[in-house]
Amino acid sequence: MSQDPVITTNHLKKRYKGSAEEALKGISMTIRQGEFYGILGPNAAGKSTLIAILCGIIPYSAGEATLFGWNINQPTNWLKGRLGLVPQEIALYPSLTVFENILFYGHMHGLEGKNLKSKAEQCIRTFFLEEHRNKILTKCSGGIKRRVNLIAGIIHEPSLVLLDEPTLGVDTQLRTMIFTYLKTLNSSGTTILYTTHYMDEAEQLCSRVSILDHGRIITEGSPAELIAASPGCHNLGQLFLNLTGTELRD
Amino acid sequence: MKRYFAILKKEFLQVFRDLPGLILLFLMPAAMLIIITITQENQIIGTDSGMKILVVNSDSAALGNTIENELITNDHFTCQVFGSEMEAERAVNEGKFQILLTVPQNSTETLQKLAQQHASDTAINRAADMGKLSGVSILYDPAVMKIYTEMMVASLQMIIESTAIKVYLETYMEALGVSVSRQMEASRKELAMTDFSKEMPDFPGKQQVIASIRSGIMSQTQKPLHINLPGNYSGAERLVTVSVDAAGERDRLRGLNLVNNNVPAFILFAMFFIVVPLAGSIINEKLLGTRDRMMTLPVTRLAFFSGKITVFLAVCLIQFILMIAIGLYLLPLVSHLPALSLDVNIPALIAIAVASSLAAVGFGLLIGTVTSTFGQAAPLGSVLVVILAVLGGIFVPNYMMPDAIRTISIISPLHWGTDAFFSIFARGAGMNNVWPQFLSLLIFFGISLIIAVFAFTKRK
Repeated sequence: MSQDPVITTNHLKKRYKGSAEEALKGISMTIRQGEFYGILGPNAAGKSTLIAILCGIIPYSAGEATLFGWNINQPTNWLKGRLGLVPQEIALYPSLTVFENILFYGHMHGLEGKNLKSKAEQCIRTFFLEEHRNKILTKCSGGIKRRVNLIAGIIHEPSLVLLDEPTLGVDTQLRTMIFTYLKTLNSSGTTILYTTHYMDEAEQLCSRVSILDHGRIITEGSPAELIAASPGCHNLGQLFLNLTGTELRD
Repeated sequence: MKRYFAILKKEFLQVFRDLPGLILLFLMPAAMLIIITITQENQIIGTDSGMKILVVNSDSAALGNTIENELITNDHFTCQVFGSEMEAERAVNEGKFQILLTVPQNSTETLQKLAQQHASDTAINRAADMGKLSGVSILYDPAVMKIYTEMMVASLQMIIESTAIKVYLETYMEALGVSVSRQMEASRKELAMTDFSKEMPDFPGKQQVIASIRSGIMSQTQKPLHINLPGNYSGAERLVTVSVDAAGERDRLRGLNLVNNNVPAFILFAMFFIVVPLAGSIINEKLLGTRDRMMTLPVTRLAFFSGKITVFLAVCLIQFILMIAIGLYLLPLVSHLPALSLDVNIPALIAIAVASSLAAVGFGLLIGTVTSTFGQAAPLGSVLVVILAVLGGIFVPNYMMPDAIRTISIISPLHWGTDAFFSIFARGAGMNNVWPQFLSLLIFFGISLIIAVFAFTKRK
């Protein structure tokens, strides 16, 4: 597996218009090819802001951020083609069917013809959506929507997948299925950036994690290393609370 | 009851916390009320008609000058004097003015000669008179609806005829006075020579009585003659012929009836109503998160909008075809109205339909990108369409509006579209006549699209 950096940020900052406080206060990190990198943090830590900046949805205010060596403030189609986003919200078209949504996003990613159709069919099978393929999305359960949301971000087999809390509101069976899929994806060489509130997910899936709080990275490393380095902590959840405290966030 | 108040409070908070939406909800109908009422003022109260009249006074004498002065000082319409009849007719045909009134050269002289002849003739031969009458011509813009043209022509005919009667009577009285005075002088002389003494018996003081009678006759016949005719004399016969015709090339003119006025007007109104679904579709993209997702995809912003543009362009063109079909087939079936005539310049008609459709799509994109919620887009978009339609002359013809509103109306893309359609349907116009409106509609689309593309992907 190559050690080339896929994502690098250097003192990355973000202040939203009209906001007194910075959402990101100087994030510096490097994610290498093939890593399964987790970003943990309480609410309003800056996780979704970081994902949005890395995808090119919002610009950063200061510092630097690159994807595959390219400055993300000038995203090109080449760069976008290597990236897959699975957002927190269900960003799909409610009046289209499951299959139509998948085909649409496949087309947008540059797939077409038989290639698109075969990939779409493969995704349908992988995520057990055969009997739901022709259902209008509004008539589907939250679990089905989550699966389609995931497919829309990975159908084009990107080199880098950014997932923002992909298991939100999902039952245990579906979570397990998603984990299995993501591990398989990662083992084939896809770099994954994963944000979550669920510590057990991060422990299970991630090769490295960073914990974000108030816009800063407060610690970074493999889950095992971090737990070992924190006396009295037996899991990532305990470590997380030790580092971030029990104070409620916005 | 407590639950009711809890629900009430919830609804109240939801509505009143969308402040922009709330402002639009009150502001837009208020604006609509003001604009519609002002534009209707002329029709209801009849003050200061927006209709513009041109006068070409080649007569420059009593008849022409009086008519000109009467029109200029009349509060019911706007009148301008033009020197060249050809330029004036062109201005009317282009819709800049609605009526052209021409008083030809020597009209006053012709009328005065007629009056003098009548004053001296013992019997008036009306049939012989017809060839000797002055002729005033009225030309109207064929794009003005027949009902308005007839109203204006009737008003102008009254002014022309009353002025002609005045000039005629003044000349007639003068001529009659001279003629009667001559006759009275002759009678006086004859009376002076009459020997009254032979007619009367003898009686004391006979000669003094005869002298008194003679003196009385002389003094009466020497008094100036004043002939008063009834003040409301209207004349049983015409003194001036008034010809009424449409301005422009005769073989191209079509005129406007209710059908070929309303069908194109409501085509535009219908097209621009796509603002509601189109703006809604764009707001939906923002709310669902698909807009943000699209920004991560290798798709240009223009490509993203092109799908919406194509679909809604098709919707507009279907509306165009549907409205034409209604004018052709349904309206004659359900009313006594004639069918819409498509004996017009078809390439120009299609070009304006396409350009208007694109302008409507641009408008929808603009509203969708500048608003954040359905609560803002719906009142802004729909009421703005109605206001632009009013300004465009769809409900009240443009030429019936007060000057101030007519000036504002040039910003309305619906005005450009209806103006072009009316030119095509009424004046037989082609692309060489309607290209300014065509270009304006396309430019409006272009500018709207540029603003929409940048506003849609504006990053926080």
